[in-house]
Amino acid sequence: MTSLSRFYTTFAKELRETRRTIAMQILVMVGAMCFLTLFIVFNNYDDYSDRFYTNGVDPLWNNMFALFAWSLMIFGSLSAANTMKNMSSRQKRISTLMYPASQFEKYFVRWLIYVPLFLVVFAISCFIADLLRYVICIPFVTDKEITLKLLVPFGISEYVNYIEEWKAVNIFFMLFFFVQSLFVLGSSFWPKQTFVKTFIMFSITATIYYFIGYGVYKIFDSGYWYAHIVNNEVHFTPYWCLTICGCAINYALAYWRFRESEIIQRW
Amino acid sequence: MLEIENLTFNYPKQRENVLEDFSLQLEPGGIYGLLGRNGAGKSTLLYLICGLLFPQKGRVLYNGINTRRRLTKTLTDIFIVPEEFSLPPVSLMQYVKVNAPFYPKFSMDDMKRHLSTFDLDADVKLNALSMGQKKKVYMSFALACNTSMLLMDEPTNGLDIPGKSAFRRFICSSLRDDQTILISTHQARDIDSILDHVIIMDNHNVLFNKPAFDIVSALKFVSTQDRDIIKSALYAQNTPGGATVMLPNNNNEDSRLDLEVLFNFALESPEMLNRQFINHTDN
Amino acid sequence: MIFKENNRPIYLQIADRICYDIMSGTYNPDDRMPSVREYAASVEVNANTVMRSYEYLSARDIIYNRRGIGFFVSSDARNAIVRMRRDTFLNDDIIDFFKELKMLDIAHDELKSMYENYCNSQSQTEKQ
Repeated sequence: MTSLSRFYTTFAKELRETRRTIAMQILVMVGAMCFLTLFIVFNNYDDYSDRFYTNGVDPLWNNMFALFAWSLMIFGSLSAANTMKNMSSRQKRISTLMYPASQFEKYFVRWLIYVPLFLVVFAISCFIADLLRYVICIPFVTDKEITLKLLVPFGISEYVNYIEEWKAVNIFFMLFFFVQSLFVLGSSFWPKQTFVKTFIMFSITATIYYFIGYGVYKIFDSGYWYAHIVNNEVHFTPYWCLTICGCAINYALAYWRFRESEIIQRW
Repeated sequence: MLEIENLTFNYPKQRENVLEDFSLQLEPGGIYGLLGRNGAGKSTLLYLICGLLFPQKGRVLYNGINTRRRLTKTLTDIFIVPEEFSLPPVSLMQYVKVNAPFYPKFSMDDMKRHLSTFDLDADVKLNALSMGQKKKVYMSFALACNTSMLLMDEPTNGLDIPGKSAFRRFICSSLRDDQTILISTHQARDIDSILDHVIIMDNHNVLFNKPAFDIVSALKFVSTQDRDIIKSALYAQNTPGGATVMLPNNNNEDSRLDLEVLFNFALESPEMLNRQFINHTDN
Repeated sequence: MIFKENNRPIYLQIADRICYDIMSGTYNPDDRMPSVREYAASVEVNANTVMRSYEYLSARDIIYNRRGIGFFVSSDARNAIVRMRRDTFLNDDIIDFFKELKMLDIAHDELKSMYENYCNSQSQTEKQ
């Protein structure tokens, strides 16, 4: 059996056996986002009649963006926390560790489903939510044009601070990918109750780092860096490299932990 | 084929080692019975053999490869049926469709044959089965994968009487000559007629390891009421009609191996038991 | 088949059963015997044990092996079985019987007349 066909078989197995759970989770995610979209629309649809809309900026965009950002963070973390659910009980460990695929394939297939594939499903979910907003708003707003926001690049108007928004989005995604990889790492160490444990661990660590970082910053800084970032155009490439390295380290650690797993948790 | 070398293992937070300097060799072909008291470490040994647990010292080699490495090559050739296992919430046919491709020697005909031995329908949802039925299904799948090594942990636990009978039947009929099966159990009576080899473990180590044929050559198992015989026997177990005794087989008599008597004697005086075989090695 | 209470080795119990089947006509001379594995599965016993049974019967000319095809009942199986049982009875079983006779102090004259009466009553039942 060639490696590629075995990889495909492993992928098919993982997907088939967790089909029900995944379907449930997708339903919850899409359902929640749609529900919140409806909430946003019914609270704010009269914004469409405001004079602000004439500037070409969809007034509901900020709300939708907030919804998408929060959903991504929350559902992304939840999904990542499920990566190593196949190791959550002794019996599941036996069946995961014993089926004839390489350890890396077993890990990689789970990662594929709960990280990149999740993002694809999430994007579709956003699209559905936005479509819902569009479909609902059309009968209300007859004189103005509504567009599916996701199909139109944001920040098209001169009234919008393009740089601010772009920076925020970059930082947000860097943070998200790193947090996502942290949750995958967490699921490798704590397959049971991953989300709670990882969240607590992350919060504690983040708080400690924040205070240490803030303390250091306060001692050494004279205000130069803050002004620099806010006012000038910053190249995010080195920061992205840092983020990617951080994620890679987390994923490698998660794989290593999985590889060293026994059916009992020794550490 | 399977070489277990000087294993030392303990569970975390436990002071005593489950296995200490434990060594064993299994040759291909044959039905091995692994007997031991509850807590002797039978399940632990099985998990160590297939790489589900890592020993603190020593190693397990399957065809020369350390099972700890969990190579696919090894995994396609070893199958373990644990005492408790989980099955995904799919139908039996879907389970087979998704898992069988991993095992190159899997045979669908064998699968159907085993299911019919157990009187089971192929068209079932795994979630809807009772524990005993799940076990039968899993064992059918295990045997249908045709791996060279099959490990079974307390296979007859949870099986009804026809199930135990069916289990014996398909072990006896389906095993190829190059297949080895290691059955760990504390129910000697369920498997005593099907074993080729008897391994008894106690006190963190192997107590006794001999082929069934050698056992009945060196020892004689007799039911008797004769007090003299009972007194002079190596071991005697009381029965309603007198006693079942174990005697050295000095006149080459054939008798039926009584696994329970052998087991009890092995736990009581292993050195005396093993000594019986030293005299017989010149056969 | 239940092997529980008997200390007679399983392979001999199986041989006994096969002999019974041959005498009763379940297996006829020159019939093909089930394969070792089939028989082992039907009685839930290790295939090696069944092999021993087959070899035991083969050595006494009750069955014979045709290489590549299987085991077959000998044409003279019934006589071979009677011969074997006669030998076993006269060499092994009868010793225990004699032990009992001696211990109970039964004279062989008494035995002789009992046996004659038995044979007469048996032939009378056959005539009826």
